[in-house]
Amino acid sequence: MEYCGDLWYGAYGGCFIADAFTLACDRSFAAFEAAAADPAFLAEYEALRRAFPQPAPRLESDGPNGACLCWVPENYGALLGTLLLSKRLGREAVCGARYADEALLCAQAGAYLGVKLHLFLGRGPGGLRTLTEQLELLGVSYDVNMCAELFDLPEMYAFQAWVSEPERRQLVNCRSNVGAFPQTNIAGAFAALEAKALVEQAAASLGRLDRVVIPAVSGSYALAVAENLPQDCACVCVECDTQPDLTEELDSYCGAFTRVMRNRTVDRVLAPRLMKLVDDGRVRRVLVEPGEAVKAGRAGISLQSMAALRYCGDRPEAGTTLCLIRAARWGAAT
Amino acid sequence: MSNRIDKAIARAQAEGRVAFIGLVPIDPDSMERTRAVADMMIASGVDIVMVHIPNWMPWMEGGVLQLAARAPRNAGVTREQIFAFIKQLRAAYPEVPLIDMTLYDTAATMGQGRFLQLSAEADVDGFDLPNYPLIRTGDRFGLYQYCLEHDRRLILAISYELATAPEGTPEYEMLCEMARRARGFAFVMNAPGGQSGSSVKLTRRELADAVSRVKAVMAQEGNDRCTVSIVCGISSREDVEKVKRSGAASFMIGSAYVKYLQEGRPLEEVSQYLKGIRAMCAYGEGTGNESD
Repeated sequence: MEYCGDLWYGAYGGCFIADAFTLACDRSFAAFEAAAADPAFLAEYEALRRAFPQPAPRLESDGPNGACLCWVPENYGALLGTLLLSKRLGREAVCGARYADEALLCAQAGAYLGVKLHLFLGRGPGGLRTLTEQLELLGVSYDVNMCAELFDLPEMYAFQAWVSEPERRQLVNCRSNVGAFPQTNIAGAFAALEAKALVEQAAASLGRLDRVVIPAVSGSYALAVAENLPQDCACVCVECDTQPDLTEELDSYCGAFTRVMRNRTVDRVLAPRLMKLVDDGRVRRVLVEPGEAVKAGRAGISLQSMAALRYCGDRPEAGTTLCLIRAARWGAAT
Repeated sequence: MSNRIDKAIARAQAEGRVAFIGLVPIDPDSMERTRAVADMMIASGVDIVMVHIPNWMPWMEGGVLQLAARAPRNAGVTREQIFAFIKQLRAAYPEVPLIDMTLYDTAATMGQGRFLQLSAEADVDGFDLPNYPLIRTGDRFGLYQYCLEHDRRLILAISYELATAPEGTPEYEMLCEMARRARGFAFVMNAPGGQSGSSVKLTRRELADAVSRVKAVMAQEGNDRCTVSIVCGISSREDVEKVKRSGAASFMIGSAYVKYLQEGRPLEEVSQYLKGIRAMCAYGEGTGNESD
């Protein structure tokens, strides 16, 4: 299993947490490294993936301007991997869930592994009674009040819970955009492992890839894909926000310095390692207006996927373009 | 001794009491009201004033200070407005120690140079930036060195686990380095995770052990330019009593009365609370409550 052990990704990432807590971070990374080097752990991870299978990526050749579309499932690598680490270390798991599907999967996989789990639910999933009923059936404790009453940042509350008792709890990350070293490293490693098969399958079907267009919110998916692409393949990350007046700032989200799209009420936090790839010119970020994105006219896909399609329609390019599209997800704020 | 923080703590010690550090929250609707709260705090006996510069993702704060951060953001209060307020506060109280209290994120977001420039213009005496990774990064961003060169105090925060770490462990090495570098005062966290307003607190014995260990290591490291302060979860007279018995020279209260302000309680009522806390600061005053 490949992973990045860097504290900083260029100007991003890092460990903006009190010195007092950095040693627990180091121990957390050491535990991950030991797991990553253990064939038994990796075999158990594969078994866990098989126990919770996702739809296989599906290629279609009818994209705009000859682009090949690839319907991709969510990348749950970080979620499953960090949950399995909880089991390995004998710790309770704590997770901030922004979407209903990841909350449910976390609960189901936690029950399957026999890991005690506490979920912080964002405002969207926290209001879904059909979800919370299932969480209760699965014996998962959850909190909906923090995000409802304070900031709608479920990952932040999970991180707070972890940092207060890092030897007793394991942080389960759904994405690679949150947390001081080594949280983004660990999440990114499992997510990249998931994306590797996707890129290999696409390359096997299409041959050389010249450009891959990826819909992005946090950019965690885009990062996982970008890290598996050959250097001569262009990588475009397409973002689309419904919130008005977002401006870009630098800020630290639970100790990881990165770029944030925000207004007075919303923060969209981008994966710090992806921002490094952007600075290096390896990945290009494109912002598409939502009014333009919806003109793509596909049903059942995310707004960002519509934006990616729109981008492919507006920007034809020679060679093979692969445009990833993902289903719409429910229960999340921006 | 020229730094106002050092002077305030020395003065309190000379008067036979612990020093009282208070936090000024930013009122989302009115900087005039923010100023009125600061005036009230100083009039009520707060020795050292921390000004809350809200971080937009306040992950190290408890619920009360998260609300105190969210409200100004939603109202569109800018950091420049907050620094203008601090500057006015300095003009009104030339001798009161002022500390910027925020996460390092704020400095990084604004640009550390701009943050320090505005702080210098307001003549603040120190910085409470609890997530500045001084030891971990070897002062990568030069904030500690800046403070040394400009007679400011960078407040370091020490957890219970560090404070009581056995010799020969990485935690002990970090404790020694923090004890060597600390100036003004170093916080000992009264709660795991360092969250403000925590209801999970150290016992009286644990706190006393932590404080005495940190003081001993400071002495061992030849640092006689720093005292120990207590932070997190201080709200009651019993808590102040615990602080005094621990051997700390100061303590900080924020969430306890910021909550009252958020509830809309009159300033006079909050002032009475602060005066009650201040009255407990003298070493001779106690509750007699030995249970813990």
